[in-house]
Amino acid sequence: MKLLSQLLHNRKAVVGLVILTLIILVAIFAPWLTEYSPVKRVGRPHQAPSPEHWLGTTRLGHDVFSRLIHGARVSLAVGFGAGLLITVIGTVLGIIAGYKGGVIDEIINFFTNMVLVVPNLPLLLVLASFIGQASPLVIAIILGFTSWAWGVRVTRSETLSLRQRDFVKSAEMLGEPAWRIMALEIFPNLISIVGINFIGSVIFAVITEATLEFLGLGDPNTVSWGIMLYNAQNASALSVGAWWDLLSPCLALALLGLGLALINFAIDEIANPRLRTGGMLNRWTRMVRVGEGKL
Amino acid sequence: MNDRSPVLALDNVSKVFGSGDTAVYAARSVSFALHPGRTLALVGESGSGKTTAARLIMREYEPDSGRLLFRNAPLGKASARTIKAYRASVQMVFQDPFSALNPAHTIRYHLERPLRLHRPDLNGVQRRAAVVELLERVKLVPDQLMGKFPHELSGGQRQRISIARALAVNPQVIVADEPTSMLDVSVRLGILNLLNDMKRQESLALLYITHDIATARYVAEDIMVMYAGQIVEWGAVDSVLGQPQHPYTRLLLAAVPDPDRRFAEAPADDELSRIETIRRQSALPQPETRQVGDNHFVRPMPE
Amino acid sequence: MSQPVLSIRHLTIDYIGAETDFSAVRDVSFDIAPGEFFGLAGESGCGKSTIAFAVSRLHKPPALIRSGSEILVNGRDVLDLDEEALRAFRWREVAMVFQSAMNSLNPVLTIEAQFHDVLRAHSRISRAQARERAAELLELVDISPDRLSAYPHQCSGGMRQRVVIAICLALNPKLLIMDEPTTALDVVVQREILQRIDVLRRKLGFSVLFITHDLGLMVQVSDRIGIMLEGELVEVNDAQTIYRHPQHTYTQRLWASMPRLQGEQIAREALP
Repeated sequence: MKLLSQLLHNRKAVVGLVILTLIILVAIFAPWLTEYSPVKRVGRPHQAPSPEHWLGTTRLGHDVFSRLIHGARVSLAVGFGAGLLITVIGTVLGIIAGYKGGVIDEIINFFTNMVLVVPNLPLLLVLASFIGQASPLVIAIILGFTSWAWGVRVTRSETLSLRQRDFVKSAEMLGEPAWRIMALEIFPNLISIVGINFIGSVIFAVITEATLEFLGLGDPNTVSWGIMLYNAQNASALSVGAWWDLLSPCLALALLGLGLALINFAIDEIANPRLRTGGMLNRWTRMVRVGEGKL
Repeated sequence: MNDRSPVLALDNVSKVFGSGDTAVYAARSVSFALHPGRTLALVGESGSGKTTAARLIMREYEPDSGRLLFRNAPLGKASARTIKAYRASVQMVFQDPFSALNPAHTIRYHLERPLRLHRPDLNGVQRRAAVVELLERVKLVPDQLMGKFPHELSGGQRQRISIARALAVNPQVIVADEPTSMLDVSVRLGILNLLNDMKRQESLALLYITHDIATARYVAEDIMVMYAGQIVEWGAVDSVLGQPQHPYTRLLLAAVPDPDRRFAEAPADDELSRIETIRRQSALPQPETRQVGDNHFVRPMPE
Repeated sequence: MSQPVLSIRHLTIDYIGAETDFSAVRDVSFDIAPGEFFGLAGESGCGKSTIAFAVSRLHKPPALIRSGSEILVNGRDVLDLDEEALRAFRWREVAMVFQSAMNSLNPVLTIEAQFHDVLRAHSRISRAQARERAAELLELVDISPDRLSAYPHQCSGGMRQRVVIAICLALNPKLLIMDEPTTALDVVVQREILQRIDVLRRKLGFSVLFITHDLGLMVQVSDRIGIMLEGELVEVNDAQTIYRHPQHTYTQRLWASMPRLQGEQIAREALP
């Protein structure tokens, strides 16, 4: 598709995609990349990184590297799962509200406002603690159903402006049914917004899941980056000098966030050509410096 | 059916937006008819009501009073089948070539959709052939353009695609809303000629809406001048433009850029207040109609 | 002629791209005499607006004015001015009315405040003096001074355009550049505004560089006309000659593409 080929030409996008692909591949092939099980005691507590344990061990003697790459699966699954849910709900409601207008718009807006007004993290904390030890699946579902409000707003306003365009009127005059107009005339023009929304939601889901688990609301038996943070915190890893225990999940989260953010910037640049500067600006500055011209 | 009987007609149609003090009379007792093979030009300034007339015909909204007649039958109480037939019979060519086509779809898609919706008798192969034929009719090269996206085409080409899309369903009426005002000057004539040719070949009834009166003279046989929702003068184009009777028509014609007339030294003070008066009086509702020529009518301005 | 108000010499402007450059203006030269109404006509992309922006040095990257170009306003090369001198130059010697001038009024300021803005930026003037001058200027464009307390959205499109013109004339510039000033306005309002500009020009003595695609309009109001095609100035002549005896085939083709309101209608096929 056009967007894909444009992405591949954008430096930021390529770097982001490489990072993301690497993390995904590592997560998929985790069992083959390490001989250690993530939940068995395989070494002495808080061993420093060494040729046997590349990232050292936790207080319980688990191999950090193994936990890290197995934990990637959970973080990715929750991130993309919840991200997908958030985006789908937000996009569908946004397009319907923007296109249909009238009473339907009012109703959707009412619910959106309700969800927007409630502060996200405290709500999640309350829900999670109510449920007790929330498994990643539960966390993903909670995130999915409470965080779609912003997406609705953005999608709705884009839809409103697209709605006025003559090609939509033309489709209506031809007698195209409403669902077809929303899905095939309006939606294809929203792909960059939806893409940005999706990636943003994934970042949000990954970080929020880690936060909830770090705060102790997750299921301590899962292997995920959030639980690794939780364990490291409980083991006072930093104070006893076992920096690898805490830093590994931190850096992993940061890396994933970086990759996704770069992809997002790239999509934004492609969607809005005015943001693209790159090669042109360099050439221009060079020419001015050499005296070939001025402004 | 008599070939001269109108395909589409507005009968005493009025449309008001808002109410009370802030009411805007977008259309006031508007009546006109569109005949096969003839072009009716609708001229006026912005806010005159010409866009409202187009929207009423395209059924974007319903008139507050008066009726729309399609093949001499009122459309108000029409069945779903008649509405569908209406949709296929009345098509629009829009002003903005950039907004008239969906940037996400190819040219082929734009021309296939109307065929899918209104010509279910065609199979895939026939449809494809029909798309090729449509492109050739609007003087475009099919192979070059079928797979392209709108942003790869020039404004003039896009407008031709718009016309092709309108022709795809074999309409009887085409409403062209300022079809050339956003195009370059050197491209406009080609589009106007194309509309003229299509009209003649298909015996279309063409409603040509414009603020550029010189082009109205070029394409139309009949003309209507609108102001503040009313049609103040109408009839054969040579008669109305040659011997304008209504002060507003005269004002409009005098303002059209004419390279033969340099500007006067200074606009006289009373000329400015005269323009004020004409505008004010022309906006007052005037039910009376007077015939001033063979095919020339005027709503005299109240003194 | 006596020293021209505007003298453009070998103006070449490119838009720099990542790999290739787009040549927007190619070696264009022309003069505008004091008090002259000069029209620059052409279709979209011909470079006429690019020239207008260059005179006030309003361009941003990727536009690049090639060295060798000269833009002399009253004898001074605008391209050599530094920031300080440029500020003094803008509005005082050259003022510009943009294409969407109606939208270049600040929607949250009253008309009076907009005048005050401009007057204070370029001279030391008290509030009361500014108000007086604003009223004076509004009368020049036939707007009653009680409109000073109005906001832009309370005025019609034509009135907003006249306000913009009045603000432009605030510092008595020698050259007024107008880029498609009446394209978005109706034909009656357009005529009023251009007539007014014509009158003011004779009264105050400024020159006008008038840019539009409407050739018929231009002949009505200009002394001399330049025709631009794809960055090049293909014909410059006085208005009547451009109208009655166009020399360049492009000019002839433009005339052949414009339907006539009166008299003999143009042929169906325009000249190649």
